Amino acid sequence: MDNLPTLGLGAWLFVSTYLLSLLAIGWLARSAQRSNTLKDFYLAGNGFGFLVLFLTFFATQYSGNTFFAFTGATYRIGFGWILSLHFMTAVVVVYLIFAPKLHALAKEKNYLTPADFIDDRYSCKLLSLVISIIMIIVLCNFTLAQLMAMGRAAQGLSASGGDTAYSSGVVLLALIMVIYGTLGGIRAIAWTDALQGTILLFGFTFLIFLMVDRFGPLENATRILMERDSILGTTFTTRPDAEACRTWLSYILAVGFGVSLYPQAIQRIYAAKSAIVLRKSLAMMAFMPIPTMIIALISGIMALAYFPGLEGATADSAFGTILREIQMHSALGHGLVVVTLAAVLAAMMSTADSALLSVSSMFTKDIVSKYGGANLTEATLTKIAKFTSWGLVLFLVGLAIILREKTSLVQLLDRKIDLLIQLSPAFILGIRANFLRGDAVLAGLSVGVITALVLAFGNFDFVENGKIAGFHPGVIAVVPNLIIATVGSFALKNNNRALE
Amino acid sequence: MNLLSPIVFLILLALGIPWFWPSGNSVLIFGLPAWVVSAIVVSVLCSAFTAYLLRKPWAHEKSKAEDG
Repeated sequence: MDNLPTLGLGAWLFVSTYLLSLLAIGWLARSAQRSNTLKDFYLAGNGFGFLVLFLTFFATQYSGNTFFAFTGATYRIGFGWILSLHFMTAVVVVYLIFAPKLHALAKEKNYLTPADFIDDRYSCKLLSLVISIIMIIVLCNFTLAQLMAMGRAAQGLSASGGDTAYSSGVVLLALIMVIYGTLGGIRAIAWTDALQGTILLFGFTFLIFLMVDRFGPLENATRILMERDSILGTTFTTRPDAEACRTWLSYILAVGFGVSLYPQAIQRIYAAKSAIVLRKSLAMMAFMPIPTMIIALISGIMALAYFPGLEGATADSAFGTILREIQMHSALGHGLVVVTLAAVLAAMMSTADSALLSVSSMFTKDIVSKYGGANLTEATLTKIAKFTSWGLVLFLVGLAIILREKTSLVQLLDRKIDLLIQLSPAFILGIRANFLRGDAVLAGLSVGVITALVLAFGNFDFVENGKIAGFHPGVIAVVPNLIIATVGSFALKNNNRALE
Repeated sequence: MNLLSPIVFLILLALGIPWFWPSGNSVLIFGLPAWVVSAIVVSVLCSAFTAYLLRKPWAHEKSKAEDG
């Protein structure tokens, strides 16, 4: 992101106006608050309509970092990254399995956090605590990555591009985010997501036309890459080999089952006003990977064809290279790049704010409220939730500044999907299969998490580029997890019968 | 989701991964390698089928309507 185009005064005014409008939305959301309860703060009293729900789903699932990372991934592997289209669609397909029943249960039993379902379904305190802790760890990593991405974007946009710009960017953007988040809770986050989602859609739709205007038809870029493949033996345009095909399958399963279990996404299922609203929003979401992922793919292909030579992690700056070229090419391009950059900031903030609010809800409801001892009132819990958000932001901002050079820690974030997929037996199978028992699910989850982490960090010879024969450690680890959960549940059932 | 839907999704999954394309194929469609276009088409079909399934009311919606 270090090579983002620098902005002029007019562009900074545009970005500043956008950022200030987020604070105004936070204030408006506070005025719309109906009661001082956790349910109103975190789920807006289950009142999300179609447009807000759709845009908040969209802005939450597609982060600004995704555009940089996905364009960078295309730059590294070529057309093979079209697999991103499949795995983002898989997320919505997986919702079909569990969202209908989960939404109905949430309405009926007033769920607030993902662990509320686990409590209700399994009556196993330890299982719901372990699941909350895993989700909090995953989301803290996730928020940290977004904060670091915001800092890098600020660094890339400033004329100096130094460490001060990085730190100021992280502090300023996180401050704006936590102010509107604590002012209006999920309402403020969803409304800002709606604005951010609209900017995203607008910015990226026009980007494709400007790319073709600047670089010419896509066919030219593809032919350049085909020629490079035949001369240098690269595989940018050739179809994936057998191992890569297995990686496609692994990505579809890992992202489909992992990302659909993001706590903030589960809470949006709870917050939908009605089943019809949820169905319509998910139906729209089913089509969103097509424009977003294809634009990221085309940007990566254009950068690869016309700006070769970005190696390793610097390939992630391919998107910035494309934006800079478009900005220099025409006045319209300059204007659009400003909107696109605002969209990138918007995407990062909307992803981070949702994750932050979700962590604060789980910490307050699943840990403080349950294990805090005294009977705390709703108003006190809401206050604790707001303090938690501020404390967490302070901690993560500090971490983002300290770790700015340690990219290896950012790489740890890739493991979040490996962890999240381990929760799929508890949620996705658990909502459909009545025979599943809490103790067996907990045993399976523990084995799955340990196996995934050992395979990912164990430095084994058979692990290549973080994959085993093309499969993610998390996908492999979910097999014993699933077997233990199901076989263990049957064994417990038979054992109970024998005792009776 | 009825019993047929998982089968349709499995077929789409098998067709969406381009394992069956010949490795030396250099045909371009709309400026993209043919196997990429095939993956996009399958993904569009998958999105359309998902949206089609989401068009129908869910079981609890039906029972609520009947109760009402």
